[in-house]
Amino acid sequence: MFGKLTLDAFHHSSMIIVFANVIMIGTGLAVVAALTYYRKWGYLYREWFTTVDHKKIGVIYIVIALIFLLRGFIDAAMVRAQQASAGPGMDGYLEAAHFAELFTGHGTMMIFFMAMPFLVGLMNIAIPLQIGARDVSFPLLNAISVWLTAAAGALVMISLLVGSFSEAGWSGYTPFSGLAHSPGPGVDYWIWALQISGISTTLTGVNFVTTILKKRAPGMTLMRMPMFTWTVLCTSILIVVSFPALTAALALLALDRSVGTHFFTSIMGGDQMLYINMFWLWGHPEVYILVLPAFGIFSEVVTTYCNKRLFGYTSMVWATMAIAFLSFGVWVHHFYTMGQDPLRNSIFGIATMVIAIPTGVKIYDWIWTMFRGRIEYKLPMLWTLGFLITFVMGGMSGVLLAIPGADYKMHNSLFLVAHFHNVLIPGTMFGLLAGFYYWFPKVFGFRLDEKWGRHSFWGWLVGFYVAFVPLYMLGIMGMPRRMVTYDNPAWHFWLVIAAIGAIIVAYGIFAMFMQIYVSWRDREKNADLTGDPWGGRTLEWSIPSPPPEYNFAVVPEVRDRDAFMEMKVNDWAYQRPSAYEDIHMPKSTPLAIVIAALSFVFGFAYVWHIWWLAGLCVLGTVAAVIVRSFNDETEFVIPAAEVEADEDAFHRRLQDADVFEHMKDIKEYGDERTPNGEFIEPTTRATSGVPG
Amino acid sequence: MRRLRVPLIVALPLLLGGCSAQWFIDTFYLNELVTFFTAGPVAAYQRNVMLFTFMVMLFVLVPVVGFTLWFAWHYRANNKKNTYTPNWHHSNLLEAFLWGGPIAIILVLALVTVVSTYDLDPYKPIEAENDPIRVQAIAMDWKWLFIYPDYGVASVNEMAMPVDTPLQIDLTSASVMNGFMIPRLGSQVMAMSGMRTRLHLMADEKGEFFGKNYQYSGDGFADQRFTAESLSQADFDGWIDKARSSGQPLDLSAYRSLVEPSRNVDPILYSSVPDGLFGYVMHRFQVGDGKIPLDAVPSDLTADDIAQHGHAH
Repeated sequence: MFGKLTLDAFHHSSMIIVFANVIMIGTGLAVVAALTYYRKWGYLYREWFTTVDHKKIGVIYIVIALIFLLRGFIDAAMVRAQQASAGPGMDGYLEAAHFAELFTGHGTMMIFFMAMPFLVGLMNIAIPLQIGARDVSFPLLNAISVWLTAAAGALVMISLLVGSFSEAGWSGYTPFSGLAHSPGPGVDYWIWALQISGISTTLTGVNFVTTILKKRAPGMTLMRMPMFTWTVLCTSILIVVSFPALTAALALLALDRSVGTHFFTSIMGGDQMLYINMFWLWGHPEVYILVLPAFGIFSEVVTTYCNKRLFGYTSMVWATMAIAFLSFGVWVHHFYTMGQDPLRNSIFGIATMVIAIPTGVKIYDWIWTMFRGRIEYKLPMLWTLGFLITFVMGGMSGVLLAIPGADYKMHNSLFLVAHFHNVLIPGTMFGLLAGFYYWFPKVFGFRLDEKWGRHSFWGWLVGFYVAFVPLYMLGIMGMPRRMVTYDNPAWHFWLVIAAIGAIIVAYGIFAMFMQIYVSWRDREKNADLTGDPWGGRTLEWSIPSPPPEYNFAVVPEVRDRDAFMEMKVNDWAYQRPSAYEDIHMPKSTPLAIVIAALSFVFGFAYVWHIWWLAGLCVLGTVAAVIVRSFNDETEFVIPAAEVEADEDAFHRRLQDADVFEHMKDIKEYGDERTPNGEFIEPTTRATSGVPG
Repeated sequence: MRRLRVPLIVALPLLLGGCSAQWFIDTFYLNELVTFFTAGPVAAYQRNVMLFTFMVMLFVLVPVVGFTLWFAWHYRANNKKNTYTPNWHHSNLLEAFLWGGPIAIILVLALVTVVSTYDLDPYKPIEAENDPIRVQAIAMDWKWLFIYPDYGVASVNEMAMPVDTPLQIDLTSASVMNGFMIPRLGSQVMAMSGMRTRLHLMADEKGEFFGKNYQYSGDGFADQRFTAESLSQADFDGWIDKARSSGQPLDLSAYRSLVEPSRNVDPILYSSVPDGLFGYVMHRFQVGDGKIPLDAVPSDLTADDIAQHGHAH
């Protein structure tokens, strides 16, 4: 009846896990009780659970990401605490198996349930607004994506309560992750969490390739797209091309574990190296899936806060495309030590290094964008500077590891761990946080508090160095990754320092949540009435904050790369049409949460081999889609009068804020002057498509 | 004076410490940076590659950090004396440098990559005056079995080698994937079930070196380490004699109990070892379910026969 699920699955020998469950269930119950008490269930259902609005979907993604940021960080802190409390003559406080669950959980959650949802959330919020669209191409598919991510995240969460999570590392190397060596439910939880979130990500990729290629406002040619849109286009293409490799690898591994096939086992002709190749065939592009949009965010931030055009836009576009293309040709560098001949290793080594060329060009382009700019030190700009200086170190260690001869020595050491944190934290995490502060007022209509934001920034930056420079040292000292105990006093010294770094990062995370709370408390004071709090250059800043459901009352016309800045400079921003038109928008639907709930139950049933339930879920999903396909009324109309009323209110706010007076300054500000005040002829304008 | 006080407070301990380099070394355990304190030609070569690459990469690091800090400070918004060119966004000359610089650096490093990767190929024999010694290393849960086929002895979690003599180490696994490395000697190579990989190492000084599995392999992973002893030829011969006279052969029953998972295994020396054990360990994964009895090994099955298949992967 219940497959392999027995009461034993609820038995946890570690008090720490019991305590974690009490916290998790307690928090869950408290949230449910509060929602019931304040009668918010109806509101949640109507406005959030059934929504297909890309802005709200983006917010849900980011909420998921912040929850998993906390969980992933707690895992990291526990790993640091274990390694700092182990050492010569000390065993620390964790069992080996629990320690393995923690480093596996940390990697899995940070990649799949923190970085990816955060990124997709920002994509959802910004892309349609940047390209002047009213929604993504497939709004319902978008809703299915977000709730599938939530379902996959819930599977990870429930593994804490029922059974256990994988101990095979976030990459799940075979044959260790096979049934013979990992018989418990952990690897199955890991497989289905990744599989469901992978499907969600693939759908997102499809959605955004289509949206960016088909839904741009008139006049926005490819080479007029904002850099963030470009990077998201490249990332979406990478997603669509690379995720099937992961899906296939996980599907075959699931068959090995549940049906008894031998794709990746040690015996009967199974090939353990095939899994590792397939995993990294996805895994390496995934690194660029994570980092390219962050690069796009840095491009937006640098231009906005330097009050300047992006230097080398064309170079940037080609560099982004080059990185995306090359990222498929480097996967072997994850396992130089698996016995390939030097020819193969050399080829993949050089391919890896070649990626450093376009990456270097991008870095220099940002730096030269600052040149002769007027840099305002708002939070996103701080994150960008922190990124530039820190990321280059990670790039250096990356080039070092790209050389097979050197990697033979550093592979699987903490040097490697330090390297990829040194690219992912400044590259992806700082980029996501910069984007979070940058677009927050657009979504919520109020700015985030600067003071707490600065605390958060310095916590992250200082904490990063204190936590990861020791790991570089430890790697050079020959310490392998993933050790629960050790007896070298030198390692102990540096691991204690690394643990102090984790505490400093913890302060940064605390400050971020404080910042959100304080900003919400003072939201009247921080309100963004004009929709353009930063002096923005792209279309999302031309509409109110928060934007109306339909985003653009009139679809804008684009004449330049920095479309909105061009409107401001040439005095045609905020122009109103002679008459507004009715707007058709997609209706809310519960289909997405139904499918996600069924997927969650399916994953849970598969993990515990409750086959009848898994079968029912598949049938239920198919039935739900069929029922939905008979629904012909999927759109509703926002009447022109309502749109006009919204716009009237917006323009009153603009008047009150003296925006139109200020526009004259912007026009002046847009002129190029030497320190002596001499006017410089804007020779470059003609080539950038600004009409005379 | 007031301005000077803070830097002095920071600098004082540094100055005092600077009086004795030993203080730094002791406090930060700098003598444990084994990647720099090598004991063999492979590791020394790797250290040189890393230091050279690091030097070349400084041509990237210094300008990036320097320009970033300079521009960030100089072009701050409240410094109104600066030239401000909000529409300047392109310069062919500058962009040629921005692409050309990284390309030049990567060209140099690509050359380093090819040369060093061929030189450091783990399969390439090391040229030395002494003839190489063969070692067969089998990764188990969670210990290492070392077989010396030339001497007919074996050991667990302890290996010995004569100084200045190349080792030809064949690797396989009786369990999951393992990564074999002795950091002070150099390269890591994976040990995988049903396959043979190969690694050549040499110690050019005497000493006891830390060796370990570097690929996570389960609960006993952290304890799965061994000692690699580099000895004079006479001491090495003594070590072999000690093994031969240990009176403990690695026979069928000893092997069967050894291969069961165990943690924190103390070093063991075996006086004898069946011919073809290494090949058998690989073979049992290749042909079936891993349950063939040891005595079913064809005596003519050698590691090299099976290696044909293992290496082809």
